Amino acid sequence: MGSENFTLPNYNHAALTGDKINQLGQFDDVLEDARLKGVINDVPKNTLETFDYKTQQIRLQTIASRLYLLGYLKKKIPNKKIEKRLEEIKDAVGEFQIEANLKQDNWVGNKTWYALHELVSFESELKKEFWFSGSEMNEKRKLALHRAIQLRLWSLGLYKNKPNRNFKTLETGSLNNFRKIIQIFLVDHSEPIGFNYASLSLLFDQDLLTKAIGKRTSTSGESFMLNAQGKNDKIVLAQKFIVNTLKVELWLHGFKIKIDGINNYTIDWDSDLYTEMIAFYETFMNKSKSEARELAKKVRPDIFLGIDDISIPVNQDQEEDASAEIATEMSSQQEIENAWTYVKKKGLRLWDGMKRLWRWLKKVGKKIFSAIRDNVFKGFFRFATKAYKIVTGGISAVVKSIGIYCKGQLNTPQMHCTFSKDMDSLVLISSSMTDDNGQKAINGIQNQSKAFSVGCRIIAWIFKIFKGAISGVIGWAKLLLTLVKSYKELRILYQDFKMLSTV
Amino acid sequence: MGLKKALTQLDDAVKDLTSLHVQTYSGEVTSTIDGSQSYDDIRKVVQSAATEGKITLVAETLAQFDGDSYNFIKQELDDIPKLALEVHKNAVQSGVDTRLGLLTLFKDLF
Repeated sequence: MGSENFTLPNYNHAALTGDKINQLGQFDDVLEDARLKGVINDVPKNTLETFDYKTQQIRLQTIASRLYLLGYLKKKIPNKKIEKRLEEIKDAVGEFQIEANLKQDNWVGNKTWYALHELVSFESELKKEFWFSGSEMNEKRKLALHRAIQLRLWSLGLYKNKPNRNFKTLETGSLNNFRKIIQIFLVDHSEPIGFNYASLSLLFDQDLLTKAIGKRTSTSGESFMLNAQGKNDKIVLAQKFIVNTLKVELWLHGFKIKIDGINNYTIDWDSDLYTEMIAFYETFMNKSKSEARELAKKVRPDIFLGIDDISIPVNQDQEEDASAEIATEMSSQQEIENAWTYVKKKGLRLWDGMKRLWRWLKKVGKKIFSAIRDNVFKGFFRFATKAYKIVTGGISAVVKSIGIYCKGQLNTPQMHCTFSKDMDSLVLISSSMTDDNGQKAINGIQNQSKAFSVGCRIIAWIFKIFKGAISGVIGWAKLLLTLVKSYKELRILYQDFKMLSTV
Repeated sequence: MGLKKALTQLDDAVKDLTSLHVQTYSGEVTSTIDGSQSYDDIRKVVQSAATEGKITLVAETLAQFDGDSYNFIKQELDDIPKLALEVHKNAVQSGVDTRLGLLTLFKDLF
């Protein structure tokens, strides 16, 4: 991997010195500088920040990739050309926002980011309340969702092309191939296959589709038992679906496979597919090189059974948290530089593969890391970004709370709470205060102090790790590793934050 | 405002966190209170209103962190809002949380 163009930016911060407040202030400066130099891409606060290439390069690469896949961009924009084509990306964001019935401000904040993510990711679920009205598609978001359906069908070999600039709403017949697949692979479905929530939940459930293929194993285990014998077109369709689902899975596992919708069920021994299948058998299914070579000569059910075997439902909270293992794995300056280089060069595209990484990690242990380095790099950067978001959220909460304490007053309807300099309080409530306003008063008081308290705990935790000895890493690499190392605990504290907003 | 500036502001303002004092009144002096008044100004308004019988002390908590504490709760609660005591309880807890937050922030750091 050539890292010459993508080494981490200069780190110009001295060791933390001075009294407690000064050191915390210096640490805050390091965090802000990490954002300004694009070491971490934080969620932009507005449209201007969204398209600030210097601080948002990695997010912009991901956004452009997703927009291209959905057909909002005519051509894939190479990463090195993104800076020059920001206007084009901005227009495409606007177009997506119109079709997804989001506010058309070209700002890719959390709402637009996650809407794009849900449509393109193989490991994310479509949020029912956002994309659907009851069991039917939300009419106002239909266009964006139709693009995602076409993309998914194409990825699985069930549609001739991915969506493009001339995209038009799909006809019911577009789902014909998918309908046949559901029949061939005997997938349970509660409603007739159509543009409804039940059907699209099946189409967007990659685990379920992989499982369905694995279940169609012949008694010998050597071939697939497809209930379409004698019907050649159905067999071809089933095989095309099988091989393309396999490509999606290998890609999700971090192998260098192109998702292209092409039917290469008959394995070409010179192909990337053959090479990567060998690697899969060796890494994940514990086969020797010669066994793997033999097995990879054709697409077999056991590869799907092996993948399905790890897809036992895991608690959602646990699912993504491989941060501790990744932090241990990525504990040298060189490895972190490599991760940075990878992410800057390749972008994160879909942010997919983390669920599979976590499942295999639990099943076969860390030995898989060496085989799927790219996913480890993606994971490292992803956990660092998530931790950064929590830490900066904690700092904002503390700063905001201090602002209220210093202002000396917290008011809610029919309640005045006045703070003394020593944080004593004098609460005055109206004698006619309604229960509703009483609850608002309680929530206001709780939110103020809990946000402050949780924020303090977050800052204390990350700062303790940053100050502690992390041998072998310096500068930005140290900050990134600190963030990943802290993530597990920060995530728990973040739950307290999330609860505050629902109080 | 950055973290350093905020903490410095807090550090300049806070003199003593070894005790916690919370008073909760019920009444109608809200129209005389606005965002421009200091804690001491409001305290005077409240004390004067209490003397005149315009407002009532519902509950008071004084906790010294060396162990002494004092709690008062009005006996006749019929004429005060239903959630008044809950509001007071939360204001006390809020004071405790804030102090614990600061303790965590500085205790673990050095």
